[in-house]
Amino acid sequence: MSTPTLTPDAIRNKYSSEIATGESFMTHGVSKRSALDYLETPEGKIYLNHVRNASPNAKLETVFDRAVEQITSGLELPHMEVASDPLVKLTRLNGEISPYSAYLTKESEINEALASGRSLHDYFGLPAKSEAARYRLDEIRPLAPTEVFISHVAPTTELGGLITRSGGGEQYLVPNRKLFTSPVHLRDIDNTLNVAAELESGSLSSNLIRGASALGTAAVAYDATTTASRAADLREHGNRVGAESEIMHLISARWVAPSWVRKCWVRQASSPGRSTCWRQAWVVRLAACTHARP
Amino acid sequence: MAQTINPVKLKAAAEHLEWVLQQYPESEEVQSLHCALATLIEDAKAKRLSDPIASNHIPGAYNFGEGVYAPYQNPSVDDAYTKFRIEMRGGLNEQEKRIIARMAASASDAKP
Repeated sequence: MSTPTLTPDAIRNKYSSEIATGESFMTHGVSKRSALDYLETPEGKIYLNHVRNASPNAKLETVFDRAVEQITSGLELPHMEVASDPLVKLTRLNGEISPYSAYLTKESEINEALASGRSLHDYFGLPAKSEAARYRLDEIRPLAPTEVFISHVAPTTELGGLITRSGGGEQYLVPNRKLFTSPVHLRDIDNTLNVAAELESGSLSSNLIRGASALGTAAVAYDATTTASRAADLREHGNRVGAESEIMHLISARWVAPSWVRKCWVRQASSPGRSTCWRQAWVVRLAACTHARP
Repeated sequence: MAQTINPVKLKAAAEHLEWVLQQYPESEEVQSLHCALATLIEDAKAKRLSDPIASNHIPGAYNFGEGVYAPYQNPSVDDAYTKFRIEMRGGLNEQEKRIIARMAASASDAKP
């Protein structure tokens, strides 16, 4: 699947001020009228309470307006769930980690984004100022089970439509970050699975690729993507051996694979004709093998 | 009922917002917001605006939702920005007033 690339330098230079402030960034989600109706429901009242508790000194108009702003970022009205699992915040590498932002997601959704072959900035409808070739992923955990509000990211535009993002990713709105731990850095990741593409195209050794055929059941996208990111870090610093070591570590750790996984993987590895998916998502295909049990 | 701008209230909101933004000369985020809003603020102060503008068309909406201005509380950038946005869209409509009134009532109920 094609995916919008990063905003070209020519546009960045021409509209540097507008991009820096995000002043033209617009979400095209649920209507304000729908959001107001939602805020009059029992769930909506809980949402407002959370926003108010997040900023107890803010005026009620501010609390109300912020709630509307957050809710209308979704393609549809959110549904409430009680969360006890961690959430993650995606931030451009070297960017400042916001302790206030209500826009989070699950790590599994990051993996879904990568598996889709789309860029993270398109999948999550990020403004140009937040997009990057690499991101850092930080985790927050609820201090106790608490309500989160789930919707899908609405399409976004910027600079009057010069920049468009599809959105569609699942977002977890956290209107009161005080109910969660401070962010803890998990890892850095690429904007797409291009690291995997490099592996497939031979940037890393053929032995390594062959070794990958032995990846086992537990080699889910999470592990493989993490490893690919670490490998990319190492290669960026000229440590090719270290990069391969990262991959081999994953492979050796997952050596014990059921035969049906190995067969599936070998089948994938010997089908270069299906190049697009193969290049973009080998780790995810491997994960798919683990779920393809007859 | 269609919302209409009250030029006097909008002018007051614009002047207050401008003053608040000027209190943070060292903040790149706040000064970026000031630059982005400068034209609107000037037009509002001069009472040149008559047609309401939806809040999501006013610069800074994304940052506001992200809580970027939350650290600037004394004076509050968020409160001044919100007041300006509300006046730019022609004030609160009846449903908005009802929701905010309910919040106020529940806040006073919660006090001992």
